[in-house]
Amino acid sequence: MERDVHEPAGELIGGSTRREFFQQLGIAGTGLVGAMAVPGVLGWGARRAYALAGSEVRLGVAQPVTGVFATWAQKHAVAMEMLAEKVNASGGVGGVPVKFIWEDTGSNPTGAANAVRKLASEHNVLAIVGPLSSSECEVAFPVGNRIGIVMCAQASSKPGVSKANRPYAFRNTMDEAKLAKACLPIFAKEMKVSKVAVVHDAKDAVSLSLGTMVLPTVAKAVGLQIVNPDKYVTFTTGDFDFKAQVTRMKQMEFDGILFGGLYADCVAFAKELRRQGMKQPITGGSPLIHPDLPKAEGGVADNTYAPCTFWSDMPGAEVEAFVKEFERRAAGKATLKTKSPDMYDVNMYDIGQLFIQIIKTGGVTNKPEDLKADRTKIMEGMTKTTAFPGLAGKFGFDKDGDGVKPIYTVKAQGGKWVKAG
Amino acid sequence: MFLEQVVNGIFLGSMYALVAIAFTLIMGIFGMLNIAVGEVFMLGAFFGMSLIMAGVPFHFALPLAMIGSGVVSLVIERLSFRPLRHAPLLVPLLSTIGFSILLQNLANIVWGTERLEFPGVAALPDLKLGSMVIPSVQFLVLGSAVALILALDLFIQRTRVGRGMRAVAENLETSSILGVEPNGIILVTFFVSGLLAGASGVFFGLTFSLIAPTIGLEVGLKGIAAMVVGGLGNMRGGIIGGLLIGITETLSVAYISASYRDVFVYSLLFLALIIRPEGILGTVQQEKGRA
Repeated sequence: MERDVHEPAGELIGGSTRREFFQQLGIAGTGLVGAMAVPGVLGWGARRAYALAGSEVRLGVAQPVTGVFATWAQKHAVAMEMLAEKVNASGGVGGVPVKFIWEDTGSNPTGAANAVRKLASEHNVLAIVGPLSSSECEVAFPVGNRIGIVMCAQASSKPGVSKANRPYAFRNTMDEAKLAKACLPIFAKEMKVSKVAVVHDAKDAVSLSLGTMVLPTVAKAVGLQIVNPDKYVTFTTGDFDFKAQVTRMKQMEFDGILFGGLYADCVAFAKELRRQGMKQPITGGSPLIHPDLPKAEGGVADNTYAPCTFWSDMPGAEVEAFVKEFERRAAGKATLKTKSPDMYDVNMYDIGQLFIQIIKTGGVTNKPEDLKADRTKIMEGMTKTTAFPGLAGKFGFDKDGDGVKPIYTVKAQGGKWVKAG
Repeated sequence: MFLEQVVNGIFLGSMYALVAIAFTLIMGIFGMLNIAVGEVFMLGAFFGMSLIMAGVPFHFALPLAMIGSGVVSLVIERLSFRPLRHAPLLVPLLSTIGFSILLQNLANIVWGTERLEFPGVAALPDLKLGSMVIPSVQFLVLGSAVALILALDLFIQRTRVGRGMRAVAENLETSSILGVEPNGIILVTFFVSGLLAGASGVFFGLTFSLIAPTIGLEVGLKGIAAMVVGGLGNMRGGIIGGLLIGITETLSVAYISASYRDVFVYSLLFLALIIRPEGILGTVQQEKGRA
């Protein structure tokens, strides 16, 4: 599937033109240019922009257009449309319009590997945004690494996935272990938790890693006692019936729950937990961050703590402008239940911004005969990135290709995420 | 805790039992498996959710969702079974697999791929027995399921149409010679199967408060397993099979691990096929003649 996200500049957005909107949003652009003027901030930042060859700058997007994660991709598409319009409204990349070419991963690892192969070999894109999940990245990253094309995932956070596929695999996400180290002490202190029970998804890659390794290890390191060390409570992705698990947990004595799983499973679990009269607060990894978790019916997920690098109620003029425009566009899409952007939408947007900046200033020619060299230059630019001004703060990558960025701990309260700690 | 887990299993199993009976009806009459029953179940849940969210009271939303599912079932009969009635058995089976994928993708397009909250219909208090907490809605679901099964049993045993269904199940050609209008009977059978699957979908939403387009596949497969374990083509067997599958699933999650749940459930299926291929209440029959 190929999707062209060009749209002409000058259309009206809520009484102002698109160009005006992006000028307002362009505090980011101003900050970006400012950052570029400071040598050493980005490594490649002080270089000037070049005029590029060709009629379009082709960037790939390997995302689940179909399958169980299709709604994620529909939301991501909103962010990518906004970015394409913003860039093309301000003259494109070195005078050439950017075009994001989508390939469907089908929400599965094999599909993700095929999407990367097709984008690199048939569409000849310069770099790829995606794939989405750790399960997909584990299979698709080796493919792109062999071809020699940068892939940057926006949601994968299982430890070690990009490290195993150097030098072309990157993730604009933090390793879950680093996130947990920031979140767990705040959770324990604010909720006065000393004994925790571990519950985890036995199927999803990042959830399994969180539940069996990351959360228990960090919990022990911060002095929490695990009450079920020999037998964690398990479920599988997409489960609806948590009665068996919660009934078993009623036999244990604990005052907090470590949850290795995705936000939707956490909501289903919390519903059953509260129904059976258990009031213990929950904490987990970044997969819990979703605008809908705090809105769960009856406030069942209140006092759930999670680490993140962005949340939609985050303060700041630039974030507010982005969220407002995102929600306006998402409102027109009937199948999008959630209209607010989440951390992963913003991660994608920032990956796109970074690719474009590297292409502008990193010596990329965009000539067909230079494709291999251009891809290498993008990889080098990514490797050198240490403080790119993204929407949610400055970010870069460590030696393993994982994101380095500010971490926030938030908790679900009153229907929204609020900053904790 | 064991007793509480068994009760949990019975409630889960009652859901599988209803779906198993929806499969059994068509299996018993045509000797053919309509894989798309799982997706009719899923659509019943979404129809119910959409109606309740649109302000339709539950006592109207349930029958309307059932009728909607019944109509979908009729469409499946018209497009996937009737044109292929004289084809080898495998062909309509493959056709319904295709229909199943089509329906799931349609649901993805209309309602999205994420889980949606099924609205609560009444603030009924939970029943507390010692440490056991049983939601009243589960009794409502179990009671409704039992009532539907009894009504269906009476319908098949006591009414003219029911007798026609049994005649067609014996032999489609002979029943036609004896004055039964097979096309009408087949349509009624598919419609009733759709009604049951749709009701089960709404009950699923009520019980778990969350639904998604993927529930059809998972519950549908369990429904097939329940039908085979209980006895192919036997309604009472479907109930026993459903309860056994529900209890097995719950106990394996509670005492072993969720990742082994399907291992135990489908091991039960294989065990039934090896030890008693006709199922617990099934009887060995000659292959039925087909028109």
